[in-house]
Parts: sequence; C-alpha cells; structure tokens
Amino acid sequence: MEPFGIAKVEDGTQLKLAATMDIRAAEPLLNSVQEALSAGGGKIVIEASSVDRLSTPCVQVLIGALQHMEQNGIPFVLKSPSDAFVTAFDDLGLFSYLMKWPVQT
Amino acid sequence: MDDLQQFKQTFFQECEELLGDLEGHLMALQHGEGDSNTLNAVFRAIHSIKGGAGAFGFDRLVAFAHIFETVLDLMRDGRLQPEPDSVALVLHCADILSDLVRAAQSDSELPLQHEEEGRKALIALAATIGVNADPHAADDELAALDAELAAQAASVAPPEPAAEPEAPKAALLKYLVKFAPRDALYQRANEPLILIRELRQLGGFLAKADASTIPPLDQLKPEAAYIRWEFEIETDRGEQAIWDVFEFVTDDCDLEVTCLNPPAQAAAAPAAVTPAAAPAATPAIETPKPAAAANPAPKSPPVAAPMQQQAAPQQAVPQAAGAAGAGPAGAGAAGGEAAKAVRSIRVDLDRVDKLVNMVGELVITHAMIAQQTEHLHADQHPELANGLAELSHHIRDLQESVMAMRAQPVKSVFARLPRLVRELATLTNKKIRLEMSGENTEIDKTVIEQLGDPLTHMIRNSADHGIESPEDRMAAGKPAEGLIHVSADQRGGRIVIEISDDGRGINREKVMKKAIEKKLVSADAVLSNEEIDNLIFLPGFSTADQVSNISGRGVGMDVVRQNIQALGGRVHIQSRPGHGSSFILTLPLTLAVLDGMVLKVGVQSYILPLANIVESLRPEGDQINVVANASQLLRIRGEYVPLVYLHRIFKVPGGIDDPTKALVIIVEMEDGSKMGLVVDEIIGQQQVVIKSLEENFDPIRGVGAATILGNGRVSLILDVAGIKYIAEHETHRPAAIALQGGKAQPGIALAAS
Repeated sequence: MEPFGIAKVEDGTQLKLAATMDIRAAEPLLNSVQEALSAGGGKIVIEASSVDRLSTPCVQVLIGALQHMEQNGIPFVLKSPSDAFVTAFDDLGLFSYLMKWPVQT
Repeated sequence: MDDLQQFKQTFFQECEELLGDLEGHLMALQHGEGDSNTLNAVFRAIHSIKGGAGAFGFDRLVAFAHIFETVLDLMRDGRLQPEPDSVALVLHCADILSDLVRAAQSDSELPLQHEEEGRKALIALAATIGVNADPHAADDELAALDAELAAQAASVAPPEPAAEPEAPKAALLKYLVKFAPRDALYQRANEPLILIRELRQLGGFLAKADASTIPPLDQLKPEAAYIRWEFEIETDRGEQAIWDVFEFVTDDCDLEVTCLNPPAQAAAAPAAVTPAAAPAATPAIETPKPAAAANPAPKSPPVAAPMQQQAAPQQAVPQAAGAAGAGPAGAGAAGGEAAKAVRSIRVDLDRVDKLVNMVGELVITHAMIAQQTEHLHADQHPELANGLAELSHHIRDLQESVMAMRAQPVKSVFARLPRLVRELATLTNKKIRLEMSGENTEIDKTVIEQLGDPLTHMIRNSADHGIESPEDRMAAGKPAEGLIHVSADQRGGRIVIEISDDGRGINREKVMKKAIEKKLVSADAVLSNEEIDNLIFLPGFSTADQVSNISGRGVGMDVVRQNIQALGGRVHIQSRPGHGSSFILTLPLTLAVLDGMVLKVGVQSYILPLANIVESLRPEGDQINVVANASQLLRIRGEYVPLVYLHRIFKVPGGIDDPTKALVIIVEMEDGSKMGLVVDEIIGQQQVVIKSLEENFDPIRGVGAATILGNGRVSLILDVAGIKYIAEHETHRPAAIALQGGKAQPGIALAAS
C-alpha cells in the first residue's frame, strides 16, 4: 500500500493522495486524514493529482472528511484533482459534492 | 432448522458433490487425460464453491478459492500450461480447499498458515506470466476492468446491440433502479463504480447519489456502506440486463428495479422484484465477463443456495427460488427454461426413510393378508387372487423405487481416495498411483456413509504395508510406482468392493510368528494360507516392526471388519506373496428389505437370503458320503459339498436328522465356497423387511437380522457365513478339509457338522 504523504506546507498541512485509492486504502486514508487534522493549524490541502484509481469507500472517507472540515470551520482545498478522481465522482453521481469544494489547479 | 441453517446445509451438501466431481476431474488431469472441458469443469466447481462460501461469509474459503480459480482460469485460457508441476499444485490446492470447506462446515478454525503455502505457490505460478492473482490486488483487476470498459465505451459508443445477441430486443423502456449496498458488498471487494459503469453501457443513464448518510468523521467506518443510489436508465435491453449487472451482488445490497413506462403486455406483471428472488430469474449464474475471466474479481454469487453447475444441471437445485417464494416477474421465458432444466430435487433423508418404513409396513401387511387368505381356493376367489398378485407386484415396484431414492453412486466415497493416496505417498516416501473403477455403482446411502472409514483404513494398510519403497520395487523388478486399484461392482444382491495393490503381499511367515507371539493362535496350529491372511483382522494384530502414524498400531483391521459386519457385509483378504493383496468387501445393496426363503426347522422358521441360495434338493442316500471325521458330504454333479444341519447349529429340538428325508439347500458364500444346509421344509419365497437386532442384542453369529412374518411372528434372518463359521469352529471340527471331485484342494476351508 502506497503511503499517504503528510507534509507541512506554507499555509497548513498537505495530504497527498496515493495513485491507487482502492478499498484497502480507505482505512489508511481515514487515519491520515485524522493525523493531518490533528497536526493543527492552517489549511488542509488534499493533493489529488496522482490519483488514477478511486474506490467508493475512499470517496466516502473523503466526503466525510471534507464535511467535517466544513462543519468545524477548518479551511481546506482540493489541489489538482486528476481526471480519474473527477471522473469517479462524476460516475458515482457525486459531481455536485465536488463542485461545492474549493479546488486549486 | 432456520432458513440460514438449511441453506448452509444445502451449500455443504453441494460442496461435497462439487469436491467429489473435482477429484474426478483432477485425476483425469493428473493422468494427462484432461482437456479444456476438464479444466472448465474444475474451474466451475471452484467457482461455485467460492460463490456459495461468499454468500455465507466464509472469507478464508472465498479468498483461497479466488486465487485458485484465477490460476485455473489462466490454465483454461491456455495462458498457463497444465504442466506436471502446476497440475500437482492444483491437486494440492484442491486438498486445501477441501480442508477449508470442512473447517467451515464444522465451524472450526484451521491454522492460518494452512493455506498460506498453497496460496503463495498459486500467486507465484500466476506471476510467471505476469498476472497478479492476489485478491488483495482486487482493484488492479478493477482497474483492468475499468480500462476495458473505457475502451469499450470509446470504441463502441453507442453500444452495439449486436454485441449482446442473447438479449431480447424490446422497446426502449425507462427503469428506476434503487441500489443500496450493504457493508458485505465492500468487504467482498465489490465496487459500485464498476457496476455503475456497466449500467451506463445499457443506454441513457442518470445517477443520483445520496451521501447524506455518511456519518461524522469520528464514527465513520472505512469499509462500511453509506452512499445509496437511484439510477434512471433508458434501455432497449430489457430488465434482465439490469439484473445481470448486479448478478453477483444481489445478496449484498438492497436492489429494486421498477419499469417507469411498462408496455401494455407487461403491465400485468409486477415491475419490482425482490433481490433474493432475482437470481432464480437468471438461468446462467456463471457468466464471467471478459476481463473478469482473465483475472476475475472476487465477486460473490448472489444467494446462498443456487450453486448451479453448468456441467451437471440435474444436480443443482435452485433452493433460493423455493425459499424466496414464487419466481420473479422478470423471469419470463428465462425462468421457464430454468424450471425445465431442473431435473432433480433435494429431499430430506428423514422423509425418504419414513417412506421406506411405510413401504416396509406395507410389505408386512401384504404378507399377513396373503397368509390369511391362503386357505381360500384361487378358483373360487379369482379376483382376490389376482388382486393380491397385482398388489404384490406393485409393492415390489414401489419398494424398488424407494430404494433407488436412497441409492447413491459409491463415487461420493471414492472421491476422497485420491487425496488420501497422495498424502500417504508423501508420508511414506513412496510412489503410488490410484486407479478406480465402478464409481457409478449405486448402493444404499446408509452403507455409503459408513463405508468411508473402513475404506480409508484398508487403503492406508495397502499404502503402508503393501506397496514397497521405490527402491525395493525396482529391486524386485517392478515399476517404481506402486498401484492401488479400488473397484466397485454389483454382483447379485450385493455390492463387492475390492481394494487391491501390487505390493509385497502378506508375509505369512511373519504373520504366523506374530500371531503366535501374541497368543492369537496356538504354536502348533495348522492354518491354511487364507486363514493366515485373515489373522490380520484379529483384534490387536499388527506386524509393523515400528508403529507408524499411518497404520500399524494394531487397531483398525479388526474395527474394519466389525464396521463392515455391522453393515451386513463381510470382508476377506486374498494375497499372493510378492504380487500384492486384495481386500474384498461384500455389502448388501440395501439395509431395508430382502428377498428371502422361509424355512422350517423343528418348530422354528428362519429366513434364508435368496441371494445365497443356489438350489435345493432331497438327496438320495448314495449321494451322502461320510468322511473320516464323521462329517457328511453331499456329492452333487461331481462336487462335494459339506452338510450343515441347521437344527444342530441353533439347537432346535425336533429337527430331521436324516438328509434323505429332509431338504438340503445349497448356499454359496462370497468367497465362492458352498455348503448344504439341512432343513425340514421350505415354506416359500417372501420379501421381508429387515429389522435390526443390534439395538437390543449383541451380535449373534449366524443371525443377520430379524423380520416379522405374515402371521405376526418374528423370524430370524440367517447369515450363511456366520453359520459356516459356527460349523467350522464351534463344533470343534477340523477346519481344513477341502474336497473337489474327490481330490483334496488346499486353500478352501470347508467343514461339516
């Protein structure tokens, strides 16, 4: 399982999503999101440029995470989502969720 | 038993059948006789087991079966060649699969490493051609499927109707599909994204997701199912095409398909069906998709019970359809075809047994009526006589039909033997080949169920004591590989099972020495070769110099004999030093009824099984010869047959002592030897219901069972081999007199009382 990279960036914490976001990635993703949130301070950057496969369980975790940030006033941004990332949301009928989130290209 | 338990029971019954078939196909592969059909059959068996296991959450079984079928799939595609090494691996993995099935059945846990070695070897084998068979890499497969679907979408847009010739053409209809996965769907590595992309191929498509049920982050379970969907699909491919997309997940989701604009002719049919009922509408359970076939995703077939084998549809019964009630509206013509394909049903054994008992009572009642009316003259009561004759005929047909229901091919027991022999060969460092014949011989289910242990022990004995090491065999001028042949055959009213090997045979000198050492026979005893061979059936006998973990503990062969005797059977051994041994088991076809001859001896009546009777006669005085030890021999057509007086055997007062005034019934034993039973008279032939004495009495030598006669009296059913034993041993006559045509014939022990 490719590890999720958590790194301090200029204005917060960046979580870099792995290329393969299959069902096995859902739990590590959840743990990484919680780790990034607990790092505290600043914006959470979800870097999704490398994603070439995205499973529904990972989508659920991402939606849960971003809803949590919205509800708790934690600033976040989805950075450079790959075509595979966007297509997965679209195919799943969840494009409207994607549209609500700030996206940085 | 609740529904789930019933489905499980059915699943395991089907697993037994599938594993049995699997062994047969694997044997063919092992002997280089397999072809693509064999590989297909093996694949289907594993796939069916995996499917059912998935439905019940037997995850280890599913995981292992998945890798296994992936490799088999590569073999049947020709991407992997069935080389000896890979066939050996497949055989080994079939054993592991069998273990996992039995562990699941007994609700026991095998050590985790049990399947690990096989799993790794399968993955390594698939890796040799660059295929990842690891189920954890399911998403690699999904990716492959994604890629394929994407490619299809790009190259065949809009979908080419000709690509699905089997799909019935229909008007463009609009369907609402409500799809709510359950946790199990994800846990079995299924992915809605794939299903949605497949649905998209059907035509106009709109997906609406409801993600409002995703809980707060601290309560979120990563592999739980939260999102649910509604899809609107406009398609001319028919409702079945939608169900087909969900074929492997219907048990792990809530699914509803509603036609929003039903055509007039379909309006009468309800538009929504339950997911549990849906699979019955799908005649072809097993239609792996192209990508999945090359590298199948670990999908689970939809419901607990319907493990249909395409190869043998008559063995598969769509239990789920029955459990779910009426078939779904969507079944249509496909449902009709499925119904036609069902050639058998599963019936609880208790119900069949109840029927057997009822037929038994009917036989007794018929005998009673026949006896009560026998004084009436047939000419005066022709209708009654004809009616009774017809009744007798019908009862016999009925009894044979009911017995046929209980009969099963011995294949189900034989199927376990290839694995046993493989394991024994490994344990003993010997090369052993197993050949089987007559697997389709049918025998009563009760007998089959109790045949497994004795058969196993005799095979062990052959492998451990009979077959020599490859070096010893080569030195003796034999091929390095030993042969064990197991055959079944029906002879008369009995089944004969023979287990023979081409090993060293029984070392009679060693057997005799051990028997004397263990005080099983006296030091000065003179025994025939056959009697020495049969010493191995004595309790506590073993010639093994060192106790092995295979056999040789001195327990077993006596138990084998007891078990076989308890089934109304017999076992004996024939051996040729240096050439091998044969265990010969003879078993009754059924344990319920038999055709017998009612005999009278003094004031007693006995039943003699018809299968033993050769002929009966009243001898002339000059046919009786008295030999030196006062035994009497009947000379008949140049053959000498010892006479045994039944009244002396059972100490019945008043029996006729003069054979020229009595009747002699010539009976034949399984070993071919004959004996003349002296009785007072023959009452007549009768079909009798066997009533076991074992529940209330210890085994009685010479008596097999009892029955109730038409006059309500209990009569004993004779066991001729037991009578022969009594005549030989309990009357203290020398045991080794053998005459044929007046000449001594060593090896056949006869005696007279």
